Amino acid sequence: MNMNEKTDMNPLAEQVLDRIRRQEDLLRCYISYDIEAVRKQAASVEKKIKDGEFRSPFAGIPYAVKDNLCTAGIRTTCGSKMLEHFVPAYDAAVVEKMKAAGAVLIGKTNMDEFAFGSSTETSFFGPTRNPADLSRTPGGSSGGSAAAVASGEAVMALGTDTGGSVRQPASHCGVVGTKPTYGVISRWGLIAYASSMDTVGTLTRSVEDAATLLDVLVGEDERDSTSLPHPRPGFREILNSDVRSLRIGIPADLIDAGVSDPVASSLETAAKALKEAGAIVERFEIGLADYLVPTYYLIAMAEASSNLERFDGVKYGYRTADPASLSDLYQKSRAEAFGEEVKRRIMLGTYVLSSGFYDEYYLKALKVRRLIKETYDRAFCKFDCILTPTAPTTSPLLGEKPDPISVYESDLFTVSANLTGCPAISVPWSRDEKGLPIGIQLMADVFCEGTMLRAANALETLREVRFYE
Amino acid sequence: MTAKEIAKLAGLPESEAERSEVREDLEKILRYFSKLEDLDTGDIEPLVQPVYRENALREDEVKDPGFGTKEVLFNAPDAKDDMIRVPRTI
Repeated sequence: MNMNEKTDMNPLAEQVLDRIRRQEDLLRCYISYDIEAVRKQAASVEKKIKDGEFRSPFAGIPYAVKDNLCTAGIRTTCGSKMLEHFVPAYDAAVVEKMKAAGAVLIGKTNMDEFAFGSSTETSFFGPTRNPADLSRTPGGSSGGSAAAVASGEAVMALGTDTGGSVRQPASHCGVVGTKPTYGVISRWGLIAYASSMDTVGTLTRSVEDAATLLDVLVGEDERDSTSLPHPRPGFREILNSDVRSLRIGIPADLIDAGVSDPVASSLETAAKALKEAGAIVERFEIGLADYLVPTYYLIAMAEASSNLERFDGVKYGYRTADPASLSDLYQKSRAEAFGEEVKRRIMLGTYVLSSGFYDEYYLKALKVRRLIKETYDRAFCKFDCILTPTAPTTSPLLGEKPDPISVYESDLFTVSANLTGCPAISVPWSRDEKGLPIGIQLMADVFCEGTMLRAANALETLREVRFYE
Repeated sequence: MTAKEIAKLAGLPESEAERSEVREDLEKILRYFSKLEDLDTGDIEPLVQPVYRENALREDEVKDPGFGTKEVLFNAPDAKDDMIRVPRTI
């Protein structure tokens, strides 16, 4: 769907609400939505468009927000029992921006609890189903956002990406998932997971929509002291699909670490198509392939354990009944309201940060992170973009309980963008024999979203499998 | 450090670490992290923030956030007279 072609806004909102009425009980993309509130909002936006108050391409566009981004007066749960009844007093910076653009907020989407997961199954509110196959997960952690966009229950959605949480569900659901450079979108009002990697990202049906949406969202914000101005904004304006002479590298050692056959052949056809369009595509060795995922998880868990200390049952969130003492209140509230994966990560994070183990684990991981950053810096001297699959397989069946390490390992292709701060995008490219979507990832150097979006747009133009056209 | 001690440091009851599958998972994941020992990182500077920026400093001014005590206390599990109530501590 191209926003620039819209003729009337209310029919679009009605169309989305109709999809929700027909499918939502089955798909469960949303944790919270209110059809009457959406109608009122759409009508008021419509009036303001007629009065000339809204001129943005997003005026009247129905969109969804992941439930870890604060929305004033609308409960924000982070997929957790801990925040089941939490109603923020303010909007996240990105929600403010969408509001100012006149976009119509449909609801808050389902996610893995505190964004810790890759399937949306750890949500306290139950799993979301993949619109491409109802027996499968939509991926995660922004699974509700990806499924909403794929199923037409939203035209676009905001998600967050700490280790691939926008790109992997985009790949599994067949939509475009974009994670920009770390810091270029304000994280004010985002419930923190791992602050040195958390990035707000977008889920859209086209690369053009992604570029347009990024133009609205990027910008420095004094309320987020890690936010940065983007040196080369205006992505929509410079978007084309010319990849002639673009240097694209395929890290062979990462691919060889294990991808399923359909995913491997999808990558091959994508590489071939880009080559035929004039890009210079080469295989190379990136190095450190075995260390990306453990480094990522070690740092992510350390930061998460610190960020989640605030949930103590005192000021907001869940509180245990009849605590014997203050420390009993802290411990029982946390034990009763956090799910298994959250407890696992905060215990491990606490351990790697504790005195006596800090140097051996956490400090070591930060040093390896430097090595990884230098490795990618070298790669980006040779290549404009790095091409990989987004995920090693298509979407897994719901209810499978694989061991935690094999779940972590499936983030092999996505975590390096978060460790290095680089932008990356997942574009739907093909389908496996069961019809499940396969996404291809393009990663570029920091602040090189323009080049990345151009290559992504080329892939979208070149692909032979239909997704949303 | 024992699993019980980890739970306590993490602000969880010791019983959280008592289940054998929890302990096994913790041990397995720590062994997985130990892979990093293979790499020689002697002189390497740790990297905390992936994209460098100068410290962001600003004047320490009070600004109106657009909401007050009422909205904040709405989320408190137990509040009385504009204060949050907790079990007796002393």
